[in-house]
Amino acid sequence: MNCAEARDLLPDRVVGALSLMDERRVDRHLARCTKCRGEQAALEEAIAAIGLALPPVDPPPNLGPRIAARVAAASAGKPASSVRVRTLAAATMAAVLVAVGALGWAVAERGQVDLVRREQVQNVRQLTRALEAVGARPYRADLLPARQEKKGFGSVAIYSATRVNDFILVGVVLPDDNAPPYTVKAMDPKGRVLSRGTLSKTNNGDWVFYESTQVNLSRAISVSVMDRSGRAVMVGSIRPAMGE
Amino acid sequence: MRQLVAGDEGAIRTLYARFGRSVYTLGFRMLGTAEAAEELTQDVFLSAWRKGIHFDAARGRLSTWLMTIAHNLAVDRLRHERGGGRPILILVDQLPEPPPVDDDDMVVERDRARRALAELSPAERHLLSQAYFYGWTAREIAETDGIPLGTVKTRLRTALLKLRNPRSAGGRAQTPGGGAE
Repeated sequence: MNCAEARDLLPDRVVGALSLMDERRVDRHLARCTKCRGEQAALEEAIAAIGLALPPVDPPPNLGPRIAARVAAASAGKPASSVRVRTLAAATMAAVLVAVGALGWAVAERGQVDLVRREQVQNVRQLTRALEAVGARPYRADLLPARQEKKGFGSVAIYSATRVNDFILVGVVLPDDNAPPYTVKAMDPKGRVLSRGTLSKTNNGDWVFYESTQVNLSRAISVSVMDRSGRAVMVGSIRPAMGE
Repeated sequence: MRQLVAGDEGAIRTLYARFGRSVYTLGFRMLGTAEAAEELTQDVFLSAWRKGIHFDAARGRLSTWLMTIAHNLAVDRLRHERGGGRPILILVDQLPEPPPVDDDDMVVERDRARRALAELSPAERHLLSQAYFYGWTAREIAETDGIPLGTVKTRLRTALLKLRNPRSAGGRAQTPGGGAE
């Protein structure tokens, strides 16, 4: 996408009138173009004025203290330390993803060593032990096609901890792989997006997404994978992983 | 802002005192209930506390940054709940005189916004409301109103450019330029 194309779409991007695919295309251009980012900033200022010009509605008096309390809780729960666990997790996760593919992760966790190589199982178990050592609680979801006539399968692994970042790992196999880019969203019961990203294709041919985040992912109850048109292709419900 | 970047929780109290009502108001108008507006406001300020390090004062105002976060989160929620209760929509041509506030900067911003909005045509205001407050894409607007997609995009673009450079502020609308990069 060049600057002329990006600036043609910028007004729609700023008001939120673009499809998901076009949003991603514009954002990728903005990430590398300072001139267009300047144009975006000017348009954002103009559109923000609409919200600021609305007749004000007073929030409840206790909302401010509740927000301050929530920030204080978040600050106490996620210290900047535990870098060692995060570093271990990132390096190990990258190695596992490349070598095994995200589905191999799910299989390896269950110890089905006849399907993956032994050292990859050890990598996964090392990561799992490190996460559980800091109190990370595991959650799982199996992903199934959103429409009956479609094929594919996938899995979601979430580790939620109070002392280090939460992790989410999503892996899917899409035999009808004809509508990338694929995006994934993990949502809470009220539809708020807790984690979002674009799936990357691995050497094994499956699609993976991984994120380390300060967001509390234990609140996530559903995961959706969408194609470039924003249509759901895979969906799943998240549950605590007990005794797996 | 330096305190926010440093993760100072007290900075959030200051930020909320100044912008909390504006964020809550936008949430209430877009999402339609006090409960949803409260949740959105909490999410916005928590997000601001986490992302404070990414705020670049050279790029724009703090109010713009916060309202952009608020609008993006509200649109996400609207699109997820599509088909739910309609929001309490205030069409942008129905803005009454805002009440006096102590913050001179906010008075100036609101007044500027009202004058810029007054320069839009009724069709432009209508489209802007649908996109900004309902979170509709250009295609959804075109299908709902039965007008060509190109017309929707042109009107939205024109409206945004008028807001950016209102004649009442001494500017004139500029068309986007730029070549390949």
